[in-house]
Amino acid sequence: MYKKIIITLLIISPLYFLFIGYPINSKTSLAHNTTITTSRCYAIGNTIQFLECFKGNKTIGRLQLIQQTLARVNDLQQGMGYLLLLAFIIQLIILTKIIYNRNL
Amino acid sequence: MKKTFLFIFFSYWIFFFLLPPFQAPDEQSHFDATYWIAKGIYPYVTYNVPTNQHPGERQQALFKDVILHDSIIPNFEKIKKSDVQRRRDYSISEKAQFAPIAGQAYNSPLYYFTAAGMLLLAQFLHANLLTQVYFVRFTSGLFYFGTVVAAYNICILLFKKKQIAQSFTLLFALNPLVLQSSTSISPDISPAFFAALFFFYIIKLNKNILKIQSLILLGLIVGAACLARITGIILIPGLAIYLYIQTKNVKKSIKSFLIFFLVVLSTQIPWFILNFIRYKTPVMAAPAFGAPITNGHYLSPLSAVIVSMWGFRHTFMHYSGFLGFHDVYPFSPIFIAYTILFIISFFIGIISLWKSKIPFYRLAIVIVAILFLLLFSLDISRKILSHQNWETGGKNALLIFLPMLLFSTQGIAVIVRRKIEDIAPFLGYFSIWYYYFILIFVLIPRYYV
Repeated sequence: MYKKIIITLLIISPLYFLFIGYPINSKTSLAHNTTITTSRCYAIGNTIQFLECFKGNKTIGRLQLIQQTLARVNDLQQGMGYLLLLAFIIQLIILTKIIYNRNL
Repeated sequence: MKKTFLFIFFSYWIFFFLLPPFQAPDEQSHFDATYWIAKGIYPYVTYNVPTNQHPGERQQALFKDVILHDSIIPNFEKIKKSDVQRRRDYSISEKAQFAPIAGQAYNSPLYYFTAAGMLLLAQFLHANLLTQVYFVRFTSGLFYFGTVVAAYNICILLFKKKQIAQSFTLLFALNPLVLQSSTSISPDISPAFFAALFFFYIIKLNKNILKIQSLILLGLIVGAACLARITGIILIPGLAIYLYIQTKNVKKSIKSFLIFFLVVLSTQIPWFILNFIRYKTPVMAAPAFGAPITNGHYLSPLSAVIVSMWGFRHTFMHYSGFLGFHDVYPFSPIFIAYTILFIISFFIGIISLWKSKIPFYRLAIVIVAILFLLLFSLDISRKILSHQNWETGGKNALLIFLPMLLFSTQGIAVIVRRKIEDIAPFLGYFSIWYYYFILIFVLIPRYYV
């Protein structure tokens, strides 16, 4: 049983990052020639920048990020954000069942 | 398998919802081709028409608000208020400005006809234009789910164990590039479905492959693969070699191959005729060599070979989570480690499986080699003949990604000195972990932070 719990916790480990949050606003904007800028401090894929950005204390994560993401997805198609949330919850339940029943 | 399939099903929809439209290369011109077919007109290619002047630009401008050309997050507010969502239809005078031209119309037509069916369904349901785009995107999803089912059945036939098949199916289905190609408007995933069907029937038919019904069935599948994407042609020489491996008789294999080839050819005839009437050539090959307008920056043949060989790493790299052409990839240490491990295990796996003398593995190796040679020679030609300097990407090799994973899995088994069944669960769990990793460190921050 303990083994299954550990495997589940390890597999979903990237999700814990949602609680730490993405560092924002501690560096100048990455965007060019546009009126919209990202609040993200680092460029995607840039490890050094990503680590450096944590020196600034401001982050976006947890509920604020989830709400923002769902709202933006809803902006594209009304109701799509809620479907996304539902899909994510069901997916996690299925994952625990896969591990619990030793399907792999 | 039910749970694994459900997990893949929901993983797909999470990607589908989170990845905004028009992020994959040339998605808008793939939509253009679909749009015109749904209107009952097969679009013309933009060959020899300066891209900044041709009327097709006006058609593409329909989606200007959601097409991104820089590394920022999409302008969701603008998308919400844009004409794309507000306007359901255009006036007759506005429509008259649109010409039936699509930048991707040189591609084989099967995907676009399927997509046009989805578009007509959306229009029948009175969906707005952006919803229509989402319907068309799901065309790739249809091919994706077909490929996933075929991949599972291939693994059942190969390994005879459900657990290995489930792990392997997860490894294939949750790959970020496979998911990105399956959630965007692009025919890249469609040949992967037909190639998987081809591999499935090759294993299932085994010695019965020489029967006429079997050859007709394989001919229809390969014909559909060629009509889905031109890269499908690699299955033709692949089968020729396989027939010889099975029969060890030149005369018998040539006779069987001719039956198969006639079926493939007959499926291509309408497409050849259309091209010949319009462009005086049965296949519009020119765009495959890059844009015909050159700036005079050519490479010598030797330099082209060297540059292409180095550039060929992209074919492997992209599977680590390269989501599109706007610098969207995971952290470089992981990006590089993944690529190196993939390449090394791939080649070790090839050597190991070739030694096994199992005909299916030899066929798979031959087909992978043929596609690599094709992509490599196209890349070299492009660098010599035109100014194009882009590299062959992983999306071009999607139809052989399944055998590539098989080789790589075997390679890892050889490296760690274990059997495939010992490492399969680990690879299955790894694929789920990696899916979440890409979701959290690439997809969400790229578009929503």
